Amino acid sequence: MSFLQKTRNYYFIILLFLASSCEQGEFYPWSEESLDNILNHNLDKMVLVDFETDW
Amino acid sequence: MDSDTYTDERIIEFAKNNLISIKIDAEKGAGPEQKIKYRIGGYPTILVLDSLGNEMDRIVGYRPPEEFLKELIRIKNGENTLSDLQAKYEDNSGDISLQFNIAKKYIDLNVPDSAKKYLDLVQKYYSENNQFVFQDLFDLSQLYNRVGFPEIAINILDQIIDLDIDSSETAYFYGLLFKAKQDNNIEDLMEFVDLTDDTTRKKQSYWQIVRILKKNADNQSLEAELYLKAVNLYDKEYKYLPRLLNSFARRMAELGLLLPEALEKLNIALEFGEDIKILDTKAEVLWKLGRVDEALEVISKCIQGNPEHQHYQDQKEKFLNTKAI
Repeated sequence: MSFLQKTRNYYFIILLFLASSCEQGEFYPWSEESLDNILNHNLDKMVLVDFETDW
Repeated sequence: MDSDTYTDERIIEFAKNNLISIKIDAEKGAGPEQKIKYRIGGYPTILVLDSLGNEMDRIVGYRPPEEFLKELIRIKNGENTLSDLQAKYEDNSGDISLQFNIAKKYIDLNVPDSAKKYLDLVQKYYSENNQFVFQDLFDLSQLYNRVGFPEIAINILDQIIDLDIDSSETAYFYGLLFKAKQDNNIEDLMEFVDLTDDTTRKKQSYWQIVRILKKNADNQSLEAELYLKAVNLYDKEYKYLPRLLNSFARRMAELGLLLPEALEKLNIALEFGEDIKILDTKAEVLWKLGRVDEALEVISKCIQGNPEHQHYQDQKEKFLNTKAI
């Protein structure tokens, strides 16, 4: 394997590593649905309702 | 909660598997209606409903990730929820600690009348059985105060003093706090706060005085001055310092008082990390100080952080309008 090929392989591995690291940053799964909609269609899960305000 | 609890991967995992989660801004859109429907008393309040919409339990106030997860698991398992406590009560209605816990649960659920019924049962039991233990009576007084019966709380505290079972003058101090609130009068507390060296009691006294002054709205410069004194009693070790400083600065912006001090406190708060709500307050304070360009710069950061949020756009427009004048 030539030096150039080796470098390419390493470069590819580093890219893969960086891409998978980015995917690990997961966010809390907030729903955009209204409470009524959720209650109408929800069959099994509990519903968390976070009341908050800006001030 | 957004910056630590909801970013914790254990919470995210739990939510993915067990919850459908929504946020409701209690002051906007359908929020005020929902706020009344679910008896929301303060923020944050997190309700956990079953799939039919019945409230299983609620978590009131900020919780760090570890504690929040424990609460969610407890609620999922149906432990120590109102229905769990009531089922146990049906089997053993003479259990005083159970009555006490049901009262506390009703307080969390913001149903003070039901809470009081159970507190009355506890108080009756103590009287009939001559059970006059300081901690029991003191806890009872605190709960009566929380459900909006400060006069009963004060009577219990007076009873503690008469029985001479309080070695640290705790009942006397809380009596002062509750009487000040009941009579809407800060005089005795002002005297106390000047004399005491106890930092914790100083803080509590200042908060009570500031609340009363805010409610009366007749001496806002004293309110601002004492708010600052209260805030200065907290050091950098205090976990919620950034939030406390932000609240102080927001109030000063509302009052238009102690604005340089407010800005100084906001800069300290921001040393703990950039927080969009603190930046929003900073923009408002800078604007009130007439530093419009800096205010615009800071509000732009808020917009960058949350472009969808109308409040930040409105603030920017407000700042630009004054610049145009």
